[in-house]
Amino acid sequence: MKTETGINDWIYAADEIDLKEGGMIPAYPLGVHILLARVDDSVYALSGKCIHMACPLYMGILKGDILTCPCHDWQYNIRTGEFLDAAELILEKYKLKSENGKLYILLTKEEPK
Amino acid sequence: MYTLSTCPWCRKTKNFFAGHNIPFDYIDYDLADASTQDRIIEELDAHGATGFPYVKIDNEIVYGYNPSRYAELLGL
Amino acid sequence: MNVESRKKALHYFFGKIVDPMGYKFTPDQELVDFLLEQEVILEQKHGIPFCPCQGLRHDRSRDMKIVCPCIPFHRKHFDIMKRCWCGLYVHKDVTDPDSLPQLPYSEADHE
Repeated sequence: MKTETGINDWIYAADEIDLKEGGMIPAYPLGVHILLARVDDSVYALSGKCIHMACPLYMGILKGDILTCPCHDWQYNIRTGEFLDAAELILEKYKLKSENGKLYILLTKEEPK
Repeated sequence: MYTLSTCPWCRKTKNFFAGHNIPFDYIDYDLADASTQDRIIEELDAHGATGFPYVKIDNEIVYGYNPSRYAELLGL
Repeated sequence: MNVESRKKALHYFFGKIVDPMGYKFTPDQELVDFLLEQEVILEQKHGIPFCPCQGLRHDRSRDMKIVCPCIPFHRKHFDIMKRCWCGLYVHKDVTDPDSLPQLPYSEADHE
């Protein structure tokens, strides 16, 4: 029987090789806008849209672990997703795993099937 | 007074003065030329003001819409 | 996009942001309508929905701190007043926004 990839599965997001140290790329697993970033050789997956007005964060600036939105300079901690000027505002953070040079993402908080 | 054309509190300030038949001069900061804006900013900064309205009655500064303070200074 | 639909869009975006910070749109609907309209006009002019009650400095780092909702950047001041400078947002427990004065930070601090 054919099984389809769903929201509770690990979903392919990007090739490891495309995400350079200190870099950011967008990914759209199941159409969800995700930001992938690599800092100190750790990879982070966060919501790809700024909390403020949904600007695409991958077009911003990543300096150390501070991400600055390209539209209105809202700044986030790339490791936690926290907005620096109001800790209540947090970018959704997603689980990631790497297998054979490919990055997979889990879009829900549920354990994968 | 220094005001913004987009700010409702600035309108209320103007209405307060007009409603009491008190003549006043105003500059809408957002519609002013660059050198006037620079001069206004310098004055606001000197008083720690960051927004509008900014009203001068004699030598007193009232920053923010404050009708009771206007009335007090104007002897109304 | 016309002004009315953009006002609705900004209302949607900004309501989600101010809620976790303990703020809501003022119950004064007329004020909400007026201020959002001014923001849409400012956005059409500058590309950014700046605060209609604070002037632009033409200095990016300062001007970005008055993009609506600017509560995160002026929180101490606004929390004391229980409203933002414009009065577009008020603390969630506020039912009578007209009772909240617009005070400079230096004075609000001593109220």
